[in-house]
Amino acid sequence: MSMYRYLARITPWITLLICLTGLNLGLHWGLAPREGPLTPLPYSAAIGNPAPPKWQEISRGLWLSEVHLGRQRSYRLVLSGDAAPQSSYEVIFMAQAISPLARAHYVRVEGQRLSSGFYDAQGQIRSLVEHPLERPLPLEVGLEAKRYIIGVGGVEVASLPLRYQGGRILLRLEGRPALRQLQVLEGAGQLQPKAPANPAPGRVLYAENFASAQRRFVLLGGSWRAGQGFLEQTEAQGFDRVALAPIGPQRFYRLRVRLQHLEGAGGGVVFNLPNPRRLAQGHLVRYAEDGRSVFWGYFNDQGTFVGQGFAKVEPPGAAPHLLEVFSYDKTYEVWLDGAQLARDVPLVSNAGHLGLTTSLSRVMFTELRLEAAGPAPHTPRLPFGPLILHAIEGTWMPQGQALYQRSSQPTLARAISAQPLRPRRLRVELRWASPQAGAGIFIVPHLGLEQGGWGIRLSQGGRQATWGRRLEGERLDGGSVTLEPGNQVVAIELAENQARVWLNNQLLYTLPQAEAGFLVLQTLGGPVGFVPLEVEP
Amino acid sequence: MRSALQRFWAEWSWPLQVFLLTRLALLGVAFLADVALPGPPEAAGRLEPSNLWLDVWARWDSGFYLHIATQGYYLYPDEPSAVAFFPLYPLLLKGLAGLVGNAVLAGVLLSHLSFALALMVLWKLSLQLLNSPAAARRAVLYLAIFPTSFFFSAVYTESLSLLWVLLAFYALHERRWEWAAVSAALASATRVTGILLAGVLWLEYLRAWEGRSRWPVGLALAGVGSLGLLSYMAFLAVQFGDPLAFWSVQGSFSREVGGFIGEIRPLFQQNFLTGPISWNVLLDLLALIFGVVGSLVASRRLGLGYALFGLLSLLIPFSSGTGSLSRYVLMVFPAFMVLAEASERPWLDSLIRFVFPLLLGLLLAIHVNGLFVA
Repeated sequence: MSMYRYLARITPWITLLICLTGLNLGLHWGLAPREGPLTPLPYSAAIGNPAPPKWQEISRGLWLSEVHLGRQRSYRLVLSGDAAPQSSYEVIFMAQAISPLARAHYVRVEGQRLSSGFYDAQGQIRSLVEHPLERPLPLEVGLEAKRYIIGVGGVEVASLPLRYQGGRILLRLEGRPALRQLQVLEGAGQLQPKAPANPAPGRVLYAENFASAQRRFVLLGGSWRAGQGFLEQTEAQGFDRVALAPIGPQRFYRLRVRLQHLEGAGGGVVFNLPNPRRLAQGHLVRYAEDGRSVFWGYFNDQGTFVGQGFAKVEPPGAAPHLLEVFSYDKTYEVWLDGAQLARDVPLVSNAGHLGLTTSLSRVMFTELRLEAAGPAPHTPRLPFGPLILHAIEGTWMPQGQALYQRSSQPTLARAISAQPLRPRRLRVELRWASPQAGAGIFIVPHLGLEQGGWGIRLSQGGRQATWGRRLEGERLDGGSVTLEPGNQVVAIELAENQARVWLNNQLLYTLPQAEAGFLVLQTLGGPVGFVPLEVEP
Repeated sequence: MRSALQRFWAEWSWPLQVFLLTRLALLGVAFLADVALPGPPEAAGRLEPSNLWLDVWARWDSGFYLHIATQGYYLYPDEPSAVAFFPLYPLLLKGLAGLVGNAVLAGVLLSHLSFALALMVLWKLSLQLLNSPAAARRAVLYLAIFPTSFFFSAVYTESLSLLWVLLAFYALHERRWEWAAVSAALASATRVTGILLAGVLWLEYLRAWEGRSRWPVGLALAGVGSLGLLSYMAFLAVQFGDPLAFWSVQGSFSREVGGFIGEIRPLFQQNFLTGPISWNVLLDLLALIFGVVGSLVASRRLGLGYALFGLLSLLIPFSSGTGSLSRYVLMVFPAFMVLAEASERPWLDSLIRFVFPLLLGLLLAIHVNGLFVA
């Protein structure tokens, strides 16, 4: 009886063991993807005069090699020969279907232009990258588990996602090709990084003045009109209206774009597009059509947008806004009007073309500026006591308890706290390095929206003070007073919902129902020192 | 020997009769529909052109199962790929094909054998749960003549999956937890919704041992019940570097979260007098209503585990689209039990016996001619 019970007890588990063993063995041995006999490596074949058995011409100029590559392995394909400048050839690899040719990757060289992409299931060519070449050979393709890296002359020119694994290699030879030899080696190999040493962070790489922009920009849809210092997309209908900046592929940068919605919402930027003719594999950051959020993501191989996140924001209205993207080696950051909306967002493409975009909106772009950034996150934050400030414009430098805006440009310079704050007490002495300089200290509940903010502004080297709530056009609804020239001491206190602003130790005004928010420091017309800047959070 | 056979027949005659009669009838209708109606299989490519009696059971997803069995899995980005289909059915198909020498025949045999066994288990379970042989008979019959029940004969996983589901619930009913876990493991290697059985197993185990701290044992049993899915995920991780590839590729099958909204909306903008209309969306919604209402009633009549399994089996796929719900509802056997109980009223029973076979024949003819039903 006990034996019977024992057997009854273990029978289910033995059954399970047998079933799972059969399932797993069957899966890995019976249902795994089939691979034919693979070609032993290293492999080498002459191409100068291709002929059977190493080469079969399956259609005019399209030669099928005898090489079978396996899945989940690393390879390096090397095409070498004479570097004739007008060489034209195409290497097709990881081909899943030969006749008709489908599901395969390719690298095509036509004179001094290289392009790469894939043949889809229907055999249609999908180009992912185009790149100018100084010389066409030797060409190397490093095949890794999920990417392939193209190199010419030992230098990386592109890195693209690998869609298909294993399969055949073909060559398309046109005219009098300069190719001599195909080599297939084990391991993806190492190529020199694509870009030489990066310029120092902060260095201006590009600044657009929009003169004749309509002609210079690469337009991918939409109706664009250039004016004095702006570029406007004038069609309020249609999605993904794009104008690419007339500069080559970029990497490791800070992209600053100032935009103003004239109708609707939906303005933004595209960046890191591998191919200047398609959005595929490129990134996008823009306002949503309802204006209530800014979202970011990328276009996949098929050109379909894949979202990576969004942040709720105030509708843009007709005011200008500053949209910034920091693109690093593996991640990017998104900032709007000095506030960080996203950080550490993974890049699917870390280099490429960039430009402006609109959807369902008329948008005027008044600034497009590119500054160098390092490969790792490094945003221009100013660690300052309990504050982290983000310098939007100007040259802001912390020094001990002091903060200096050094730029003598007559334009507005701003630094904004990275987080909203409720200062129990903020005290600062303003020192003027120019009799024309002015400064402002404001608390702004909603970035990008002038209304609702409050504070004080001093102008003419501290001889004029104006205060109150901010209205449209930088106006303030409080009073104003004329002061003796010299340094001025401003103090702000926020207790419960009441704010007090002191000037030179005298209470200037009391503001009921004052909201907490971002601290905005402004200067205008010259350098100003905030000495010291003390904040009690 | 003779008396043993007689006893066997006495015990199982109803499900076996239903099985034989419905399957023979369906085979005849399928063949007639194929040869008599001008359908598009010629253009689409037949999977077994040398034998139309077999070929009629190999349409749509059958191609994926046959490809997996004969040439292995594949995954191509942004394309409907074989990894969406779970491995146990094609694995058994492959083994059987080695014996009979024909993959389609092996699939048809596997599906029919599984369905016969599933009907027998359903019969046994219905007898115990419904306390009425007449209701149990109706439950078996309604499942076999349901408008999309031809999928039980086709090279699809429906029959095998239903067999594991019913075995698991039968074992749960008998409080044989280990066998329930084994059945759940096999179900989770057959279809993605098989994993629901692991949750049901845990729930039923906790309910059975209420008040006692046996939840770790229940959790372990549920873990065993998910071993089929975990085995497949391990395979996907090794072969394709993505253990969730079966889920990742759903978008290429036109399934996206919230997709049902875009599919239902056109129903309200169609001209039902002149057509064309999205008839299969309508069919899927009717099936969804049947399955959901049946599951809700089953929660009171049969138990929470039955209801949860039925609801989640439909609502999870519904979250990404209405497509194929009229086929997925075949797994919701508690709804058929509830319907069988409600059909004590002769008029309802007569209505079902008239409408179900009529629709079954019609949908089978459509399916055989290469149009998408579910």
